[in-house]
Amino acid sequence: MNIIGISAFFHDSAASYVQDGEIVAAAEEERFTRKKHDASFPEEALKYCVTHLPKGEKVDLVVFYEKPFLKFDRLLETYLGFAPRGLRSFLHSFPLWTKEKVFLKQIIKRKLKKKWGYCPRLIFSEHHLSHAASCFYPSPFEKAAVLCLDGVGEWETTTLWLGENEDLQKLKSINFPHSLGLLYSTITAYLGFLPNNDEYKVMGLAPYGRARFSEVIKEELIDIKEDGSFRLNLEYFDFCTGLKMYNHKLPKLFKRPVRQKDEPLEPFHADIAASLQVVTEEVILKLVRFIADKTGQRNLCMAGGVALNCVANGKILKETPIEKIWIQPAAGDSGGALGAAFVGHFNAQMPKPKRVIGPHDSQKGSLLGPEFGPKKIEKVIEASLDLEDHVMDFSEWRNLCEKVAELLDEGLVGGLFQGRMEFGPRALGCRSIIADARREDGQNHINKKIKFREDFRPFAPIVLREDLKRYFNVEHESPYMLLVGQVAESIKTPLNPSDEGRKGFDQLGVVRSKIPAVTHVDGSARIQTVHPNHHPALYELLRAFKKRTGEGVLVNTSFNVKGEPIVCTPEDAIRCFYTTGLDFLVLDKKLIIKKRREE
Amino acid sequence: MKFINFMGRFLSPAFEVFKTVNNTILLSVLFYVVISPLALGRRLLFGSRLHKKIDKSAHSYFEDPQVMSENLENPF
Repeated sequence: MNIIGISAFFHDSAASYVQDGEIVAAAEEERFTRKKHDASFPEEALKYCVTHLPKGEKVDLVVFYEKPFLKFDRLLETYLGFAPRGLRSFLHSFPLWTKEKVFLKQIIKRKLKKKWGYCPRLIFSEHHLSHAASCFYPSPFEKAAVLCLDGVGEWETTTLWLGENEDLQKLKSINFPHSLGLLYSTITAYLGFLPNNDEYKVMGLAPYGRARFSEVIKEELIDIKEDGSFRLNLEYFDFCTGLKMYNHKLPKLFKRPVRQKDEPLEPFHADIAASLQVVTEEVILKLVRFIADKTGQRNLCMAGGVALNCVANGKILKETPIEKIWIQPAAGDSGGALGAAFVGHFNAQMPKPKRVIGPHDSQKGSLLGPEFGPKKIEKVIEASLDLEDHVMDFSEWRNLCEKVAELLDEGLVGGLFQGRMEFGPRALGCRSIIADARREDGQNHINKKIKFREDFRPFAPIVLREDLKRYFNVEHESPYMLLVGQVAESIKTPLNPSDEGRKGFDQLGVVRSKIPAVTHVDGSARIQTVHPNHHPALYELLRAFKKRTGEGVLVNTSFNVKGEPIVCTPEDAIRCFYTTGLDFLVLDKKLIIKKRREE
Repeated sequence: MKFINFMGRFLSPAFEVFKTVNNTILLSVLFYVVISPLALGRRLLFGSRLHKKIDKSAHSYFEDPQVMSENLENPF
C-alpha cells in the first residue's frame, strides 16, 4: 500500500512516502522553496515523494498529521476562556481559520486532485499520535516507552505512551496551555531570539552561563511534580491572548528588559539560558523516570520539538533507568508527516499489518531526500564554475576521500554534497560542511567566515563508531547527532594559565581538548557516530582522515548560512560555496578547489 | 466538540460568509458584542478548562488522556 503523510500549515511542512510499512522518501518543503520553516502546503516535497512510486502505481492513502477541527476547538476554547482579552490574537487568527483552515479537508483534496488528477482516500491522524508513531515504528524496539513533548498540537503538549509491536497506547497527557515547549519558546523570545526557530541557540548559549535563575523559574513560572507533570503560571505568559509569548510581568521577574534582536548578548542572558536548560532537564528526567517506572521499560522513544534538546537526551542515559534510546531525527513537526504515514499503515488497514523489526532502525540513516546523478552535477558545474577554480574528477570515492583528507589536514574547510539529502534538521554527512576538529580557531573561523552566525555557537563532531570511547564519555550510538556527551578525560588538555578563571563569553576560543573545534565551553559535544553499515561514504572519508592524521573525528555542521535552509540541489551547494569562505566543495565524485581562497 | 461537529456539518454556509470577512471593525464587534458576553457567562456558569492554576498540594498534573477519534476520515 502506497501511503503519503503530510504535515503543513503551521511550520516545517513536509511530505513522506511509506510503502507497505517501509520508509521510502521524506523531505521538508523548506529545502525546495528555500524559505526556512516553510509552512505552506508541501507541493514540492510531495512532487519529490511520488517520483518514488513504482511505475503504474498510484497513491492509495494520504494522511494529514493532525486534526484541524480539534485545533480550531482549542482556539475557540481559548477565546472563550479569556475574552474580552485576546482581541489582537482573534483578529489575527480568526480570518485565517474561517477562510482557510476550517476547510482543510476540501483544500487538500482539491490540491491533490489538481496535482495528480485523482484524489486518494484522505484521513487525519492526531498531532501527538503522529509524533509517537514517528519515533516508535521506525525504532528497533519491539516494545518501548514513548515520550512526546512539544509546543502544542491540537490540545496536547506532552504525552506518554507504551508502544508494543503494532500498537501505541496513550497512558498520560498534559494539555494546553501547560507546555514545556511553550515555556522554552517564551524564554527564547525574552532572550531576543525567534520563538519556534531559535530554541537550539538558547541551548547552545546555556553552557556559558550559571543557572542562578532556575529556582525563580520553578517558583514563579512552572510548578513541577515528582512524576514530571507540570503546570505553567499563566500570569507571566501572553500566548493565550496576545501575539507575543510573554507579558510585561516576565521582564519584571528577571529585573531586566527583553533583549532586542540586535543587542549584544551579556552574561545575564547566558544565565537565563542555563537556568531554563536546568529546569527543562528536570522535567524531562522526571517524566522519563516516571514512564520507565510505570511501564517497566528500559527502551525509550522520543519525538516532538523538545526531543531535539540533545543535552537533556544525553542525560537520560546517565541519570534514569533507560538503557536504550531512539529519537526521531525529524523530531519536530516535519517528522509528523512520517508518523502520519505510519498511522495510516497501522490504523487504516484491516487486518492490521504486522510490524517488521530489524536489528537496526528502519529510518535508513534519515537519508530520505533527493539525490542527483553525475550528469546533473556535471551540468551544474559547467554552468556555474569560476574558471580559475580547479575541478578534479574521481572515479573512485576512496581516492576522493584521500584527497579531501589531505585538504582537511591542511586546515581547509569544505562542503560535502553527496547522496540523498537528510530528513530532519541535522546535516548528517550528505549536505554538510566539514573541517578538522583539531583546528584551534575552527569554531570562530567557521562561524564568522562561512556560516556568518553568532560566535558563541558550537560545532558538532562526527566520529568513527569504533573510536567513540576514545574521544567521548559516551557508550550509546548517536547516528543522528541527538545526544550530547562529555569529551573524554584522556583527550582533555590543561588550560593555559592565562585562560584559567575565565567565565561566560570570555571562555570563547579557550582550548580545552585535542579537538577544540568541537569541544564546547563546558567540555561537552553533540556527537554523531558513523557506522560503516549506516553511512558507508562518510565512514570511508573518516577512515581516510584517520589514516592520514591518526584522528577519526571531524567537524560536521549543516551546509547552509545563517537564516537559510540546508542546501538541497547542486545549484544551492555551488551558490553557498561561492558566497562563503569555503575552500573546497565535494559534489558527488567531483572536487572543486577554490583558487582565490586567500581573497 | 459536539458544537464544532455541528458547525462543521451544518453551518458551513455561515463559514462561507466569514470567508469574505476581513473587516477589523466587524470582527471587533463580533468579539466584544457576541463572543465576550457569551464567554463571560460561560466562565461564570461552568468555569474554564484553561484556567487551572498551580496547586502546590496536588501530587500530579497529568490529565486523563484524550480519547482518540475512531473515525480517521473526520478532521475532528
